[in-house]
Amino acid sequence: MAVISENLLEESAKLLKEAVVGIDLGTSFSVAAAMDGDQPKVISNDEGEALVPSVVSFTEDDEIIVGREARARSLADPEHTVYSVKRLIGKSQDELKQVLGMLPYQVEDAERKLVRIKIREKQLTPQEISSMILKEVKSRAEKVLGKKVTRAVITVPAYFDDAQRQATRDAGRIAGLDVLRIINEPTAASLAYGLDQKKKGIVAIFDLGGGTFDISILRIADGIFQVLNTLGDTFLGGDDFDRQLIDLAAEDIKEQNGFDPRQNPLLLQALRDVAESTKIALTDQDSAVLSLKLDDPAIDYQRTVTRSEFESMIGELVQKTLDYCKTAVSEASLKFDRIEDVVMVGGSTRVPLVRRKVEELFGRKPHTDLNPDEVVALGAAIQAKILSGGFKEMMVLDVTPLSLGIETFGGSMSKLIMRNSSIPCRESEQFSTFADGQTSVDIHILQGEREMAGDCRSLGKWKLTGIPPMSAGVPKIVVTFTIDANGVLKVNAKEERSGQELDLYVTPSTGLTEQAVERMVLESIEHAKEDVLERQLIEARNEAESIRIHTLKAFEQADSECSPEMKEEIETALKKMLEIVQDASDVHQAMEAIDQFNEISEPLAQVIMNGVVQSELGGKKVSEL
Amino acid sequence: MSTQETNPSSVCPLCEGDRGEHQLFCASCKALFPAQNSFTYFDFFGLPQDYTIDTADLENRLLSITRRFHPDFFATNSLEQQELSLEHSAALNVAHATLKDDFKRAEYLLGLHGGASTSEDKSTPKGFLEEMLFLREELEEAVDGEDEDTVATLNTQLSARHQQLSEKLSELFRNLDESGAQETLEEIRLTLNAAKYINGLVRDSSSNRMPV
Repeated sequence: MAVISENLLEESAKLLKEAVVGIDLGTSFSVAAAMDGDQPKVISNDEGEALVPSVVSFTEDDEIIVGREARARSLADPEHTVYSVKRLIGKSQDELKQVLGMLPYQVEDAERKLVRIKIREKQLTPQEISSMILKEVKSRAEKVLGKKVTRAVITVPAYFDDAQRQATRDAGRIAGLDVLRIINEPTAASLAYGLDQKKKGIVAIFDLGGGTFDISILRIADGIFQVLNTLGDTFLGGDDFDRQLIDLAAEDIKEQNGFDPRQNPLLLQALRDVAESTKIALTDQDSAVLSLKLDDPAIDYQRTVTRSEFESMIGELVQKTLDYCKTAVSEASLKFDRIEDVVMVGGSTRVPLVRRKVEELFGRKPHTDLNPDEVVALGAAIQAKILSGGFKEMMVLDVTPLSLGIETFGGSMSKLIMRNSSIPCRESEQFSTFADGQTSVDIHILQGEREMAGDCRSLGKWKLTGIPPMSAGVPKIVVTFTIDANGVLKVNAKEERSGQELDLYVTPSTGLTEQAVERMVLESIEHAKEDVLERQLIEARNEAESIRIHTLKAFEQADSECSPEMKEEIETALKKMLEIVQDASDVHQAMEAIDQFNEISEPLAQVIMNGVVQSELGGKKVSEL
Repeated sequence: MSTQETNPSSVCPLCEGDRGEHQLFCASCKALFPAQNSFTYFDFFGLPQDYTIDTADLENRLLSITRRFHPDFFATNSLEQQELSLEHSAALNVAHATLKDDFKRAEYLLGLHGGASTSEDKSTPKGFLEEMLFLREELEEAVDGEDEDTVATLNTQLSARHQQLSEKLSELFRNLDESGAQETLEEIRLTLNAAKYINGLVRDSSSNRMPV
């Protein structure tokens, strides 16, 4: 029996062609990776490209273009081409002042300070734009792997707060993905690094991407990747290096031509392009030419920038990353000499000044063997495998990057969960009522390190209702705050005297409500009819998979009670059903096959349910009795 | 109070195999069980309820036990098992953070022994506040005047005083084991409050240097 089961298990898994992927949803680029046996591999297209530019462009006839082609359109149609959307996700407009001036597309404040991007008549959330990037990554992975992709692990900067994590997860859902886990980028990178090196000891992950910076200190021992401390800045990355060059050129042009090119979306985009290529050129060259030539308006600008000039321009930004490193190391109660390796992650760690300064600070050459653009996605694929039941020897013990608390009387922040606490994590706090017969209590949940509530990030207001009426101060309301393994907050509340579970109504400060996400999932499906079919088919396939697992389990449980004929009949039927479901282009066809199988397997279900001992029945099927 | 609960039955109700010593999981089928009210942070690690603890040993125990509960390994299990995995992992992490820290561990033990907590009774040892009054003023002045050298010197003084309190705690807990007396619990709480006060002073003087 066991042998048949294993073969069947393997075969049917092949039939249900599904892959679980890891996705690095980056500020500038996104990358997917999947496991090939025990090794993670990035997913590249026929041209060998693994990086999908995180750019979405909207044409006049409502076509959505994502990736390289969208990027190519950024000069021709900057107002309808969205890039660096990761800098906006989970943020409100007041928090984005420094970024908004630098974006050629229009960003508006909608209800509850939720940022929306205006594309012609439409208003889109950063979640929706991100979901378009995810869909592109997903469909590329499906093409390359020849398998369906419905489940994924998505990475976020370690220093992302709860709102940014939830928003990223929502983007995944809108893209039709079952998001198995939100994992921190430096932590994912450490998995890829640790898998290769079979390492033990303390490592630092220095992750400087397009828009964000993270430093994480980890201890790796016996396959456990334990984050000791993490610190970062969600507004510090390669984009800011570019900005220095943009500002340099813009000031020059302003002087020459009498107008600020940053005010014009097209010129700003053109400047961004030349600034970026100048920065990249300065990686290998001692000097590069920053030039912008245009006929209308007439601009003929050219200036040589030496590497040392560029380095003095970005010096302060790089120093900021080093200061974070010092704090992170000291908060982990460590000295720099205890750190055995520094792993460089993110495209911006290619900048020679960054490498040099990191080497100086840590007193050792940083580890740069792994491709800094790909290592995060590779780690996410490893995490996906862990979550699917593979790699039992590896696990991640991560931390929450920001303290969590509530606003107390007088507007101060009372911390309940301290930053750098290992997750999952759970704390409770007791509340009561102020007035007789009061049936609801409001709590304001905050994230951050500052003393005053107004200086912290507001996650939203939670209204606890359903408190049985009692005299003031009598109810004992225990509110439990749980941060799960995704770093995402869940809140429960109970009135202890009555044992009554309380209902919670959340008004998130910047995130989407549950209903809004549901609506977007539907809207995104309505956009393309084939999506509907695809989704239903995926559901049918998921059901077939669950039937397969249950059938095999049932065989094991009722091993001695099943006749060989019955086993054979059901196994053949199972195989046939899986084949049909896999090849079905029509959901009805798939559902019909599932129904048919359920009928054939009924005797097995009976055996299990009744606990009938088959041997006593002389090998007869239940249905014959 | 017993130092470690022993399991009433060693047969797992789910797989009928030997469920082993731990209250929260079956060693055979890896299934998780809900915790009983009497379950303590020490029980997670199979440690006796002592103030003295070997931190390196605690770390090793954490690493070996954390795999039993971590949500990574329950992602494909039933919702009920997933919820237990979240619950136990969260409690384990809190247990670890509590036992690792001398003062948190002392506070927790105080509670297990039935003493009033430091938030219920905030009094400090006789003469302590007078002792601190001058130090506090000096520190505030130095912080306001951005006199980093003086702040550093005062912080060194404070951490030396803190260290004294920590040693005092060890001594008190040793006495407690012998006497179990109410006065000893009282004295433990007073010492903890003094240590908390010092922590607050140190935090206030350094909070303006936090990179947030």
